[in-house]
Amino acid sequence: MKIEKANDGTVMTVELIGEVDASNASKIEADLLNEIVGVKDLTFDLAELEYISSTGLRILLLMQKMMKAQGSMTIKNVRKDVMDIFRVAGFVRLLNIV
Amino acid sequence: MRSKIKFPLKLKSVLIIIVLSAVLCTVSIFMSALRFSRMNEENFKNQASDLALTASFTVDGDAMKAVRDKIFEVFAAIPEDEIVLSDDWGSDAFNAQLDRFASIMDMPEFKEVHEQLSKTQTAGISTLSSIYSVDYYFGASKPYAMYLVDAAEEDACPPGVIDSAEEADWEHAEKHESMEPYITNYETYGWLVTATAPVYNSSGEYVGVVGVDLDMTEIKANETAFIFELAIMLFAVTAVICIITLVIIDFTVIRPINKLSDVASDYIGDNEDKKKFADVDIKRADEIGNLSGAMVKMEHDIEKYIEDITSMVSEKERLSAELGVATRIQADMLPKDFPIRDDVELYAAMTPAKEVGGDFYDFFFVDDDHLALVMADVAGKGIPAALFCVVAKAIIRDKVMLGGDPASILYDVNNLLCRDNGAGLFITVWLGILDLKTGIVDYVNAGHEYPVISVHDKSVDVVERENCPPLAAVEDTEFTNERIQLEKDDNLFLYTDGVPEAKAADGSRFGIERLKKLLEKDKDRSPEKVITDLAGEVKAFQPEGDPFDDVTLMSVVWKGARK
Repeated sequence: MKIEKANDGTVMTVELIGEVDASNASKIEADLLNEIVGVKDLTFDLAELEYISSTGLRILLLMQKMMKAQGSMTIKNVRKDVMDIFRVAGFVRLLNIV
Repeated sequence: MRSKIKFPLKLKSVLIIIVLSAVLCTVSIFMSALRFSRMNEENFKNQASDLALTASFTVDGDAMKAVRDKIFEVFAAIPEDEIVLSDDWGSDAFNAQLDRFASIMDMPEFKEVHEQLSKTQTAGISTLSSIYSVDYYFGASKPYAMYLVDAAEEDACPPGVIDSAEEADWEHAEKHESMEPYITNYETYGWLVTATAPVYNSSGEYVGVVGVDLDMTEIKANETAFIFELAIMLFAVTAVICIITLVIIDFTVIRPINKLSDVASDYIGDNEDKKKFADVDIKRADEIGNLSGAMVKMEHDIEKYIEDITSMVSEKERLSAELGVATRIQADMLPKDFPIRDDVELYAAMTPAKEVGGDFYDFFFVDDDHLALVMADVAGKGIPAALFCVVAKAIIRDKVMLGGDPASILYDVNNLLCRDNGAGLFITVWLGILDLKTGIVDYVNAGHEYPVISVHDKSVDVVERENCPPLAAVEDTEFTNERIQLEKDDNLFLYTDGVPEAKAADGSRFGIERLKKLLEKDKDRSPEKVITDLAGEVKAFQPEGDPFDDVTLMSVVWKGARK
């Protein structure tokens, strides 16, 4: 699991690479919570994300809730496998996936 | 475990002090002896010089010249190869030689000089051994020392006693000056200091020297006695100082260190009844006091740490015991009275990844003909997830019992859960109500895994419909009812993501396909057998140790309407 971030203060892009599961979710959560203060436009680029567990989905949901208060959140480049996970989890209706 | 002490501090300090004191004593005795002896010799040489000089003025030079000339005259007549030196004292040839000079002793001049010298000899100078006059004869092939008048009281050298002159002696005589006094130690004469002074006659002519021998034997003996006394005194004083120093070091350094060392050895040993640093606390304003204070503090700190650790361990044990109780409570909360009836048979199991899990299943009869089925998974594990489970389970049961279709029930449940969800947890729920008369299942899938139906004698199908969002995520979420028609003996299989997502050591996942294959294997198995087999497979698939996620399984077989 790797996480790449580009943050210019208001626009931030986060790339999640590999697999997000219970073993690394809490670290990613702490990492992102520190950074998104003041961000208006948050984009998750999931082109390299192979798998995300329910604990990982929880992070996306948490980010979504926080961004709702301070701007907007977009998810892009979702692979089919991950999209299936989103679909099963009912996240397609919750997230702004482009 | 006390290491053996080969060279104790006490032995070391004793040895060092004794060696150093011995060296100090020896050096000081040696230096004193040397200095004292030099001083004595210097004094004696000066005394001898002075005495020789004084005597040289009391001698009548004219008389001495007459004696000398007469002796030289007799000597010159002796062929050089017949000359007998004083080394042969007492021999016939020597005595014969003396006879040749015998008449000289009757000369009035000889008597006069003898009398003059004797005056000094008998003046009472205790160390004066002998006083005499000598001149050197340069007429032969080499210089000879000739005794002229000897005033010694014993063994005086009469005229005719001849010595071969040492170069050092006659060189001075030739220049008519006093010779540097010198010290000799012959067996026959003992320690002697010899000094000379030149004698001149009335017309200023050099006529020989007056020699003086001072006896140093007594003073040398005194010297030895003095050194001996000094040595005894020095050693005695040094010994006393050594003992005092050792006693002081023993009391101020060695004993306190030994005490500390003993306690320290005891401290790391296996003794039950340990000595304590606090009991030997040495209150002193020096390094040892500091050390002792530090040890007392360290001991105190360690005791405190041990206490802390003990209480931490017991706290941890208490927590783990409580967690064990929590595990039991959670297990007890999951219904175990699995129905085995004519119309339905059901079995379920939950295996938490940690002590307590974030999954739960539930089933209960809403009325005689309706069986409610719940399968849920909180995003997360452990205590927070488990607490959330308890709340969700209770609310869902309450709302279902109040009646309504699954979508409206979950609408209410969702809003209740959203209200008090600070932790941002969400919960996926599969809620279905099975009509036992018709085999129709009305359900809502709120973000949960797709159910699988194992159709008896036919395929195994994954029921994929569009899933609704999970509960506790967004308020006022609308849920959509779905419906499945079960045929007789169809097996509705529900599970949590711990099953497909179980991870093997090589990183591969259990997956839906494997699950389907295992369900296809033997369709006549009872729900209980299906669940225990599958739980075993999932457990075996994952590496030993910490399981990845909670695993929950439920199998429901509808056996057709009751007769």
